[in-house]
Amino acid sequence: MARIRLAGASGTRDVTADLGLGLAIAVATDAPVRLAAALMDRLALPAPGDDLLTPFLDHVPPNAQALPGHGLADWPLATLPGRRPRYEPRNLDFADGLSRWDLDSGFRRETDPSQDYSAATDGQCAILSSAVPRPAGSAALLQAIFADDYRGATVVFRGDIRAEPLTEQAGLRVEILRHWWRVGRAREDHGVTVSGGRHQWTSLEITAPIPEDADMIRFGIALSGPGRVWLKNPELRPAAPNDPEPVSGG
Amino acid sequence: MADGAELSDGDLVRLARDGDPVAFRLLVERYQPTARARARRLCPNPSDVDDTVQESFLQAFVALDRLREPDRFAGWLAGIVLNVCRSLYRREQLTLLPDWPEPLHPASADGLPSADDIDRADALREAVAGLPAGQRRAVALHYYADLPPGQIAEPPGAARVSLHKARIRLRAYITEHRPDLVSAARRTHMTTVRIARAERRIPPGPVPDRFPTHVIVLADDAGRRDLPIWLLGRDSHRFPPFDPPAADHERAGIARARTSDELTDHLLRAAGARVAGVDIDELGPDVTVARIELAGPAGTRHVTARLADGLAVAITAGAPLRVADVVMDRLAVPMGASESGLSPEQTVRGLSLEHRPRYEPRNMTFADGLERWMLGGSFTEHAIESRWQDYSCAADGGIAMLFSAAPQPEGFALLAQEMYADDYRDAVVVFSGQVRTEDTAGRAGLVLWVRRVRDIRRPMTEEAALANPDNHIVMAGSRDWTRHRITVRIPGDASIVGFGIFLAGPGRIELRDAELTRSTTT
Repeated sequence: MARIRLAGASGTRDVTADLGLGLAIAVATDAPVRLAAALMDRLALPAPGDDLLTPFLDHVPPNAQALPGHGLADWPLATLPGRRPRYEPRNLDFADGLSRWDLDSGFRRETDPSQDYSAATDGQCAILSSAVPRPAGSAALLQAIFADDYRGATVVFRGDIRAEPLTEQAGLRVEILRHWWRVGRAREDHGVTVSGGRHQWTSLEITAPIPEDADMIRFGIALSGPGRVWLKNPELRPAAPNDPEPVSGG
Repeated sequence: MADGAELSDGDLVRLARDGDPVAFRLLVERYQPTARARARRLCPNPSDVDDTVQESFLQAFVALDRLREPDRFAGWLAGIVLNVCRSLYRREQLTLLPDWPEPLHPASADGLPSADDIDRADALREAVAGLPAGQRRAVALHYYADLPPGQIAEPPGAARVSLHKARIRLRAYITEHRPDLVSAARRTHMTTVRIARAERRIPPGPVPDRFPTHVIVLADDAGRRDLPIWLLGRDSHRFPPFDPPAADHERAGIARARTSDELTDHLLRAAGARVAGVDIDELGPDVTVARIELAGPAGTRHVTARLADGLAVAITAGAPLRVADVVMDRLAVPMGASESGLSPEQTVRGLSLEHRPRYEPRNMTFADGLERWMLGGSFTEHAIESRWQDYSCAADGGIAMLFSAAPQPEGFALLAQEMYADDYRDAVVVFSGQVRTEDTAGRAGLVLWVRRVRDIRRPMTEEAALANPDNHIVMAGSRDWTRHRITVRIPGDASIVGFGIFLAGPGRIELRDAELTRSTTT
């Protein structure tokens, strides 16, 4: 909450408004912004030099930070013009590192995956690993594409994965995000997982129908709990007539 | 007398009034070039220029004692030159803005301009200077040189369209920049209306972010008529029944403003002012403003605001809402009839605006009809639904056509394609195509625009779309196919690149063999 002080012919009057509105009025009218000394003493941070932003970044809650590779809260990537999806998969051989791949903790990002999980590449493989002994939640390394060219079709996502040592699960993942105007921003998840250790490369495959109102498709690998999972040779393609029936979401 | 260069106009006028013969000669020397240039612009016949200048200085000398503000000699003299020129050609008193009598030329009771007259004339001149070139020319030829529309452009309808648009722009400019000039006596008659209802008509599919989705119906109970006004979706939450539930600040005993509209109301009250009324003088694709009348300790003041802001202020403050009679007469429908009008759902389908951009141009040969092309422009944002069909488009045989679908279409139309700029950033691109026009009255041609990442979306008016002289080509008006090209460097922070053909006013423009390529030269 902010208090706006008006000076007029009949004296000074105060108007109370939401904090954002008060700041907006201060900016628009070039009026001074004053904070209670007690508030400053409690919350202010030293800002040496001209860099007024950096000292505060460490104090921003993880789920409010705009981390590289992340979209806006609750909505992955599409609204960031610099990182908006393409219409077709790219960098599937990881020749450009993790370009176009994003480390994400899921639709509801209640935890910051970069604290507990990390992603890297090794040659033509991508690696998703736990970064602490007891990571919270789960994480995924996903690439998002616009769904336009796949609507009404069935897609097959396949890849070779290797995992070690797992106490929970890891596997392939496909997410289908439907258009934003749908109530609840419905998302369909499809997955196939492995558990325990899987030292040998294993080919996994997910088949999923893409609804007519699909907005984006995200595909990649997921990891829950401690461990490490490798992905190589990922491929996303429309299903051929002789492909198996779609696997239901999981 | 001291060196004249050191003396101000006011000093020289005062000295001349006191009988100093040199002082007025210095004024003549100082302003003769200006007066001559002005006379040259105003006199259709060049041989009249010298006589006009001489007569003007003579009148100024005789009337010098009546100049109320000696320091404003220059403006005063300019008005005299204008009057002399008018007398010479026996012009009648002009009215620049029908429906809103506003004398264009300074003329006080004694035939000489007062400071107020000059001030008003200056404001109008400034407004005229801001018009697009075509409209400025039409105003100059019609109101200054007294040419009938038929002699301004071919066909005459084209000139009338230009003059109509110019009047709307001038009215909006004066209303916004010099509301003090819009005295109550000069305003048009107004009809007081009430907000009868507000409805959301959102189609089930995707809707462009700049397309009206909400209708506010203003009712003229005495006249048994409604004025449905369409607003963009982003304004919808501000109107009943879409506004949020009442705040609980009363319970807390704190008058806390939670929205910008509430804050405006609280600030006004704290300042001892109240909203005396909100007036809508005009509605059009390029004119969607309301004038808020404030009554305060210092008197009455006017503030010009966006239409939606004006409506919101009227609701929040409980102030009367007034609409110009001419607007009601032109746009109102019988009471209750507005429910059967067009809905955005119908129109959006017709406009083919559902596709999101690609990363490359598509269907440039129109082999797939108008797939990936969109019909847009300011006319699609018109507050009046009946104007959403003022323009139309089609494709046939590899030719795309954009044409007016009403005799006097309002606003600006584009048949264009947008694509993500990512793969073209920092490159030079060339948009080219064969174009021909038919019966165009306003501007028509090729255009390429860039939207940056942080650009604020504003209405795609003619003025906005063609603001950059390097991003468009205006066709001279030819029924023969001619290839034109636009070359533009795409900035590094570009988000969207749009390209296509445009049309303002009646007529038709056609495009074939369109290409968008990277330039091989820098």
